Amino acid sequence: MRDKIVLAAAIFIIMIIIFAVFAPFIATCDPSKIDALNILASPTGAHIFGTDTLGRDIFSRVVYGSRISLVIGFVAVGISVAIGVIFGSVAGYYGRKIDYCLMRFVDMMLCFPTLFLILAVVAVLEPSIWNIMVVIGATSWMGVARLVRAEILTLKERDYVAAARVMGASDVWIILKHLVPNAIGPVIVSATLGVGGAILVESSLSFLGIGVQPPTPSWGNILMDGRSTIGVAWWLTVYPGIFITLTVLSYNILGERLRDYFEPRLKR
Amino acid sequence: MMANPFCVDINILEVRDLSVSFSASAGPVKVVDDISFDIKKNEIFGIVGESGSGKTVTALSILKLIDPSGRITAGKVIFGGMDILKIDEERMRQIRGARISMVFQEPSTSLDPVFTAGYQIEEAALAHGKMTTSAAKDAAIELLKTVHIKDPMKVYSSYPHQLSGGTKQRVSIAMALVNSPELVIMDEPTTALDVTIQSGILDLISEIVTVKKISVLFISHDLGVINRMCRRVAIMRRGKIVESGDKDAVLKNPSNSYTASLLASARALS
Amino acid sequence: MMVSCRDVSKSFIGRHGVVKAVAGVSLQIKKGQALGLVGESASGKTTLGKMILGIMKPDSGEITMNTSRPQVIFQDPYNSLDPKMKIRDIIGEGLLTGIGKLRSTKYELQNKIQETADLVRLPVSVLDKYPHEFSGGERQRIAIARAVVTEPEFIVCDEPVSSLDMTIQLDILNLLKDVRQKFSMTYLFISHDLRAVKFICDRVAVMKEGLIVEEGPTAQIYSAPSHPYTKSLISSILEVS
Repeated sequence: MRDKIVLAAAIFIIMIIIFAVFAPFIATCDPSKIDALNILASPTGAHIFGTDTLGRDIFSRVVYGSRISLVIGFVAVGISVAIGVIFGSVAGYYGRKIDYCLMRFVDMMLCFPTLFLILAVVAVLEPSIWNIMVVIGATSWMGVARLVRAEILTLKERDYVAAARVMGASDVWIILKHLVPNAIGPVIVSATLGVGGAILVESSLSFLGIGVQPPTPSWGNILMDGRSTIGVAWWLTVYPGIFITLTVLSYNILGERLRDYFEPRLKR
Repeated sequence: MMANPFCVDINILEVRDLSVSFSASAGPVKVVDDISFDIKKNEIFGIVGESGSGKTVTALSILKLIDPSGRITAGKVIFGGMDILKIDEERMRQIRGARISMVFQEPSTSLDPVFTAGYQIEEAALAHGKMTTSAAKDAAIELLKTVHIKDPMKVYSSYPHQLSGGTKQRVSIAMALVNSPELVIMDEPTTALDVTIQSGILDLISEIVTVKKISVLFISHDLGVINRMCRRVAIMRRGKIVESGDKDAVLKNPSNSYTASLLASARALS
Repeated sequence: MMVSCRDVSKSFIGRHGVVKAVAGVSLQIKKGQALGLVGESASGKTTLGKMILGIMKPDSGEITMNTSRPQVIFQDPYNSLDPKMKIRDIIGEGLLTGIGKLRSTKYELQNKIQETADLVRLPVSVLDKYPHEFSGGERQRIAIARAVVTEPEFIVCDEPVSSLDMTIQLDILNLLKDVRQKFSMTYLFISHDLRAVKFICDRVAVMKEGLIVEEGPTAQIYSAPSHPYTKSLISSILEVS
């Protein structure tokens, strides 16, 4: 039963990826096409998800919105993993003072309410997609850093690391060739779960109006649009909402499954 | 089972056609394959084998401790006049730790680190409901003396991490003896210990067998230890018993090529 | 003189205070010699081995090495090979980095790796597999190949056969003997197993609680030990006939 759920999650994610990659072919209309005669049309034949306050087709906007979500999700997570792996491996490998200083910095970063930090940064700078990705990435690497550090603390005591030291291998060689590849399991889990988180943050920002700006469609800004019209046009809220929920849920399910794969516990 | 005025030839345990399988991703694996042997009263019977031979699984199967990962697929284990593989768990629990007990290889993991040595010995007695708490305490201290622990009162109230490897193993042996078992299974009891401590423990085991008149199933990969301790042996390889019999006969004139190669390796190093 | 230790000490802070793992050890290993370092647990022999290898610094005393490229073989065949690396890369690591780095073509490197794999009698087509596909004995062979590929002059063997089955132990010990002969290798052979030490070493040093209590030629130590601890060690060897 559990495996069926994982399979469903994987299929959903693949579907979203297909939406994102083949958006022009899947979308039924131009997502920016304004159709003043068809404002707030309910979901019917031509517009299967209905239209918004400017008559734009919601389905097409949701399809194009998947691009935004995935790109932001992957790039933000990519940035956070890169920063986290560097911090974590240097701290874990060198230990003592370097470890202490780096980890206090991590503690400091963890004290910031990151959503507010992101809000502040995005409010000051222009809310471009690039800025959003970088900001999310730069405020979510701390968990990865801690995970990597913990793994490396154990791994560096392994005999194959000692053998490499005896050979005269440089620290960089040992970290890149031996430690990081063996520590990558928990990182992959964290990254998968992180994509869901990044998508949520982006959606929140766009919903508040300081994320992706219209006319570029994002699931979050469609929701923003729907806020004022929820009484008369539920489809503006429900459809993007479903997509956000299911996408984040699918990444979470996949992440948990990967966790079982990388860190097998004894079955009872 | 025949009675004998010298009580030497009575079998206290008979294993017949025992097979045990474990489930693996590629299908079930036969870890113990159709083995049979007898353990006589008041003898030390040895099972020798290298890693993967199935010797530990055999021991655990006798006590039915291999669920749920393994399954006994065939065979009988006759003890006390009945096939203990067929009895229910409730009756098996009365046998485990009381009539058949076990000493494991790693004293640091077979003792619970959060309880004192004395408590753990008493627990073994109290679990079988045969003694009062004060009687259990006396029995525990008596046993600590029996296993030649120098300061029994101190060890009684010590935690495992405060004790040396040899002392911990003596405590494990005391735990195994507290309910006066008929058979004690010892799985590599000295392998994890330093070699100078080993001889002390082996002396202790020999002494206990003589004094308490128990039988021991002694499992080891070390031919030297087996040679010293056992009267009869069985050699296991990949789940099968390839040779068995009187120790001197087997070690001096092995009839099986695997036994011969084991002996050759052991001798080449001495 | 290949290795010379003078009054080397190392302490650790343990649960019950300061523990002197190595308490003033002086030792010498001549070129071409195989010295056995025998001791039980907590004798300090592994700590001393690590200091000689340079992966741990002594608190006091001096260690002089007349070689630039010592290599090591560890005890646990399951932890001494990187599970994510191919055998080819494991054996060849010493040629790509560090002291033994070889500046030659890829072809020459691969040749050397193959040569070394043949030398330790690894089965054919082993190089593109991963450690988990091999048994303990085979992994130790791979570890030996890794140690030998850079043609070192000195190898520290830390309990190389203690985790192996008896029949495999003999195999590996014979291999170590062959390697010694072929390369005129100098060994520091650390072990608690007196029989293994006797098989390979010319000289034996016995360690107890951080100190060397006796040292001498193998034959003498085994037939006429003088220190009481050595005597008790020798007498606890159990023979099979």
